[in-house]
Amino acid sequence: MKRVLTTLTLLCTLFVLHAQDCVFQFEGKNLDNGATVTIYAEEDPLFGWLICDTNPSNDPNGLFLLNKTSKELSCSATISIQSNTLSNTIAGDDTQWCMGTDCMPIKTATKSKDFKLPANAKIMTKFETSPTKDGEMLTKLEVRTGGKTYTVNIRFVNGQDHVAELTTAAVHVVEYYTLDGRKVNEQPHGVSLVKLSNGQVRKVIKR
Amino acid sequence: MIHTIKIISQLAKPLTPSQQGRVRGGWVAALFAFLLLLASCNGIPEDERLIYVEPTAAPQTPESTETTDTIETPDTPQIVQTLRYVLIEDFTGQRCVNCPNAATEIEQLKDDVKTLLNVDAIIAVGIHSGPLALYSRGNILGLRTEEGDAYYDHWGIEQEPIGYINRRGGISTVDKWSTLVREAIQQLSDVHLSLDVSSDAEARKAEISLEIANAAATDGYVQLWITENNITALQMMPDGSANQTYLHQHVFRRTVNGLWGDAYKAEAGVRDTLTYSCELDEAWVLENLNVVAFVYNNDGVQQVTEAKLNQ
Repeated sequence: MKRVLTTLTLLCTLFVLHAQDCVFQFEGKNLDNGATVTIYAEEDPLFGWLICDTNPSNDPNGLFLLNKTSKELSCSATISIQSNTLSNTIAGDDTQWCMGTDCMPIKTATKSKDFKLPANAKIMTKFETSPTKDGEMLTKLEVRTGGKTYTVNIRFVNGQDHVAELTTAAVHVVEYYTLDGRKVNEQPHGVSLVKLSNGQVRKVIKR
Repeated sequence: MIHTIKIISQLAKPLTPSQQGRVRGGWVAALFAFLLLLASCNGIPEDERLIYVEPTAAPQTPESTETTDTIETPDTPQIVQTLRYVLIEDFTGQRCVNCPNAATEIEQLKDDVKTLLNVDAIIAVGIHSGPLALYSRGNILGLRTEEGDAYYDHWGIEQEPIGYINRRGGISTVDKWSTLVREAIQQLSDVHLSLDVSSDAEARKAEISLEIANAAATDGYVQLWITENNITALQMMPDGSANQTYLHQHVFRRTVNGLWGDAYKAEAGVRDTLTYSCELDEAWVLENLNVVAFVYNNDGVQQVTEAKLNQ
């Protein structure tokens, strides 16, 4: 009997510890805590410049934080740029972070903010930068609430993709284009554009 | 009477967070109680009563600043305290997805106060500034200005939307605006402002005359701005989408008399008239332009008024 009670207590403890009040969602799917999302630079259709954006204006399914509880949560969030070769500065150019009730231009590697997460609601977690060169930006976003920490890593990539990294069983190449927009039958050497079956257009390289 | 007090006490319940920014019972009650207090000053000599005098607007321009007619007027009606109007400086940007929420909040606050006092006592200015704002580029009409950026830098702003309510209590996020407006609207002012504005469409010039009447000694600055309503331009929206036909209101266009205005000092009972003239950009729609004038000092905005340019 004692053994049963001990086991039950242990299971309850594990359940409580495992219970998650929040979860990050990307492209409509729940992310494991600490997961990494990779976002490729695209030409912004509005502004005409290159942009890496967790929540592009033409895609309603970007990065969100979901409150799974029926109570409002007080959250404290920190965004930390771990590394960045997309720009000559650690924070990049035109980098901004929108979460909660405001948007913050990011000019330093780390920024924090507090906000309320309404009950059973999901809020947009918009993080964007404008690459000025090929490279990657690695950023960690942590949200603390109720004694727990929820983390998502954001990887922005510009211009260094290989077709093999972009294609999966569900996503295949539809068309290749040169950088000046000329359609070609196969991937040329050097940098070119590839249109994928999921509608995305990526800049790729072939050495 | 007991019944009345009960009603007031019910209306004056503290606001819950979810009520903030909406039509607020406590809001209405506090102001109602305030007006009742004003209305119940029996036994106060007539010349000492607080009389509400609606501030009016007068015109002015940036290039030439001229002070005229500083007249002590013992024979003219005594200048008394008046309702203090509320200036909301809304720092905003077209790339800022959360900024339309501030515009919505401003409209709600304006409606609430108009309903209560029957005057447009909230004067808002949207200052497009900082990295989240846009300069015009290609087909994009940007609303960012260098002067707006100067204010943004001066106040050390790190996020948008954010704003000042009568430049008191520090810069604040939108969720605090209703409380700050409620406090601000209950204050009286020793300063009366009256704007008289005319414009020359051909010359693209505005002539502005600002009358200042001081119920008490004033020591501060006079500031005039040009704003424009009904500008259709891109705005990133809270759902992440891009609204290319967003209607921007009360957009800061330029200062009339420099970033920080003109120093102004007057004794109690003094009436002054300041005149200005201001060039108007070809791209601005004259019918949609306003002049905003305010007197401020270290205690914040003492009084503010607004007038349409094309009166």
